[in-house]
Amino acid sequence: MGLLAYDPSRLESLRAALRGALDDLAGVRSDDPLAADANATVIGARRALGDLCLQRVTDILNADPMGSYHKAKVNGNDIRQTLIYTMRDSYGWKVATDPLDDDALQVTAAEARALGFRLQHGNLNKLTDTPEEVAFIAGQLAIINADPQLRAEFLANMTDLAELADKLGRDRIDEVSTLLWEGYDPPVSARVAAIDAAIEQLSHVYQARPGTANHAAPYPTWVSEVEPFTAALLLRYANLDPMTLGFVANDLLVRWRNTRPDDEGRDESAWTDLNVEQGPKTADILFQLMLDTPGATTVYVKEAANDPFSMWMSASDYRLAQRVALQGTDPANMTAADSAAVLKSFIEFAGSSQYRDFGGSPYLLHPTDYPTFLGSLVAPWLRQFSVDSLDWDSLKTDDRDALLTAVLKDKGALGILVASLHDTVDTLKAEVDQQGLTKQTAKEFSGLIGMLGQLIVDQKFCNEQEREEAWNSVWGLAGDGLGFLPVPAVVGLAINKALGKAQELVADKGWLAAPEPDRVKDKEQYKFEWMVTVTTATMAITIYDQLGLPGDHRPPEPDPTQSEPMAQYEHDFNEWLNSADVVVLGPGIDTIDQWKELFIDPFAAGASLGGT
Amino acid sequence: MLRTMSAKISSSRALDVHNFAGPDTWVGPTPQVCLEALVGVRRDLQNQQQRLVASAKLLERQADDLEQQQLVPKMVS
Repeated sequence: MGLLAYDPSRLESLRAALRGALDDLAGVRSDDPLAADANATVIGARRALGDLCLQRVTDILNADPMGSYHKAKVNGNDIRQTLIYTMRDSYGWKVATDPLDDDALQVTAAEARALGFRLQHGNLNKLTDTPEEVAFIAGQLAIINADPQLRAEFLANMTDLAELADKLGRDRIDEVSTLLWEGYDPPVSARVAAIDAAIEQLSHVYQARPGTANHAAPYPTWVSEVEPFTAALLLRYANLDPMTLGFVANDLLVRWRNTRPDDEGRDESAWTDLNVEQGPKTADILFQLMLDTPGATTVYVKEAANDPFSMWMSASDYRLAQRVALQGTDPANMTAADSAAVLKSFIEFAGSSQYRDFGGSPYLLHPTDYPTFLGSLVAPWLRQFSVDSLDWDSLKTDDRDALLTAVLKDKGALGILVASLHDTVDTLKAEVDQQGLTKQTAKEFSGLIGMLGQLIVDQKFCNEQEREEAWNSVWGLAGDGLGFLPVPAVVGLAINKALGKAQELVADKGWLAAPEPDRVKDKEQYKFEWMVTVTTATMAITIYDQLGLPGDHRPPEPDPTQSEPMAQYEHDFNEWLNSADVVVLGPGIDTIDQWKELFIDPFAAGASLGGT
Repeated sequence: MLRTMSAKISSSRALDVHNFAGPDTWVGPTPQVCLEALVGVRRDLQNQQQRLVASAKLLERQADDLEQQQLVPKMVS
């Protein structure tokens, strides 16, 4: 049983018109056989006019209490009766029962107008207080969105979409909080699903609203009309391109973090989502959306670097922010030039008062592991911290030094960086495979090893076991370094063949095993120098042998008995070089000298950077 | 006769009655059904009215053709 509304005087006019039409058709008939169809149509028309329409109009006007159409009340708080209520309330129409049910799958222009009117002027608390009503709104809007004319009718009567959108957004916050507190509850879940469906349709309305967006300016300006949380929900269905989404997300979170509703004349003391303990906040919604939109996180973190507070102190689950940062700054997604500014900002944030003194809401967990997380953030860009890297022109050596030092204040971050060294080496190797070995690559590698070796020397690791593990990693990398030989043209392919020989030599001598514990116990500086010296000497000898030079004048071997093995080796090497018969050894001696200069010197430079 | 019937249909108020049955007059399930019915009546009547005219024209053309055939001199065999 449904309801209908009517204007009595107009319905009287309709009745008169129907009677007149029936009178006109009464004499319409022809005996011509060719008019048979027309005769049948006229008979059908009279039946429709009379039995279907006139009879019903008369019944309505008679308003027989015992009839199908009798006087009825309308519930003004039921959105499903909005058209009937609006016509009665605004235009003084009468309301009657209707034996037919309303077809919710059909929306007329009048219904679209009335829906907009009621949602604009009605009591939203009462119009949306059941899942069925919210689902009804979603269903009606879905039909309206499919028809530009209906949407125009709706929007003509509803200029303030924000109030409804914010109402639904706040209700969702409450309902999700209830679910998280009390567990699964079918009615509450149904309401959340209905709200999401309505939010989706509202998002489409916003996107299609005239003047909202166009191809030249896809920025959805409507996000500023609603609470940030509501905007985040709406954006899930806005299908923004990654760049626009990244910009919008940053703008929203800056607004969320730096503006309070009371600044805009509202009563609340804070954004709704900030006042609810359980459930996602604006940032959680946006972060997940960007993670699901390839390319968005990179745009976002570049923007967020200007205001890291808005990124790192906004989410209920700050690990989402970490995932955004890792994805956004992944070298596969971000250029080295861009990474410098982003990493600088995020690293410096850890030392800021904004991070240290953050009180904020009790419902936002303080990301206490942020300093450790920075190790993961920095790891893919470790080589850029090397003094020899050319990627970060915007950062002076001192700046890189200070940033890396800040990261390594956290032991966890240091451990992550050491553990990631092999990945860094793999990256360098991949470059060598693609571009051939360059002096720059070798310098970066050796500088990297030196930098981290010195960090260990400086006893950043308090625990002996941690220190040993770190050493083992760096020690292993020294072996990897053998694969980074510079290959001068004069030596050519012979050097490549030397790699296996070099590894055999190192193994035979046991040089890359840890030095004897008794003699070097607690002398990390010695360990570091020893590693560098071994690497350099090994390759010098290997190159010498591979070139087929006379065996009685090999380059010097490292001497583990020396307290300063690197200085001693350099001394021995220079003596060897000065005493070498250049005529006999030929250009190969230059190659060996170049190797020594190329590898051991950047080691020292890297050590200088790491020793902070 | 066909043209006469067509003229009656085209002048019938049945073609305009739907204008009184729109959402300015009433709204609801029954009003929607009635409005759609009246729009359907108008459409059907207009179709039949046009068919009646077309049939009348066809008959008139056929009559003209027959008349023309009778005027053509025939060779005597």
